[in-house]
Amino acid sequence: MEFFRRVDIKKAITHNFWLKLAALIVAVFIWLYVSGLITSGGRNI
Amino acid sequence: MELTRLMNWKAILEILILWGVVYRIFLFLKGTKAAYLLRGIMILIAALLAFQMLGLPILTRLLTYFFAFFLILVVIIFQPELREVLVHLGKRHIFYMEPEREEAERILKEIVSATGALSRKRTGALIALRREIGLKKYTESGVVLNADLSSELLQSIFYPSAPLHDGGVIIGEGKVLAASCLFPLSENQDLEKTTGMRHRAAVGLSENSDSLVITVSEENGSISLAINGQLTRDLTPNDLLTILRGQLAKPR
Repeated sequence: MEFFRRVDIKKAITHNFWLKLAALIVAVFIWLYVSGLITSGGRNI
Repeated sequence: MELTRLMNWKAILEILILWGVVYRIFLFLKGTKAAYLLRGIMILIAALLAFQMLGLPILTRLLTYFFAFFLILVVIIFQPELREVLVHLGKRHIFYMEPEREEAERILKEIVSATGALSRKRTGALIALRREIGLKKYTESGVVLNADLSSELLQSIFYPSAPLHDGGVIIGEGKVLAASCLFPLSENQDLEKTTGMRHRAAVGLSENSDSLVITVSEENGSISLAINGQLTRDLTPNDLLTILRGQLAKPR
């Protein structure tokens, strides 16, 4: 509980915001790519 | 349709884990030469999506092949960095970690105490406090220490006959990250002609990053602080502490 009390949600989001956003985009892309929803996910390589 | 079928709590969990890992890698690469590689990957991703949307099957397939090959290449080229990323991953909170307030205060006091002592002894010093913008490029130019910060350590580094006294020290994450680092020299024409290389380096680094750079002149022991390309001279240790507290508490 002490840990959660110490976490500043606003700062956690705004800190390195653009880097977090870029990481999210890349993470979603990797997931979609591997799941085969974008291209064939390398399944036919 | 297929997307809604695949999207469930497991998929969201997978994406969140991936996000954490990718973010840590980005954070690690920020400020290094490898950041250019990141840009390259982003361009590849954008091109792949564009080809897919435009319905260009040959280019899409070609890029898909290249992408798989490229990822293997990245793993080989950046093997030492990736190993370090994995080591760091276990050490920190995934998304955000701020040093405890007391710890931050202790670090500032150690820095100011060292600066005061160096000033009294007229020992030249150049100390950069890293903030948001990574200083990997400059850290790599010196000797990596990753040592716990103390006033004594800083004084020892800048001791005139010490091997690491030339160049600057970089402080970040409550540690002395590296010593003997080369900082870029400012080409600001407005600086006084008599401004020495150490002060020019302090201004140069503060122009190229959001770091706070402290200098101690070896000629007269005066303490200066460079922030965003502006040099404030002749500070007392107390002035320095007040400014540093203000700057580090400021939301950026």
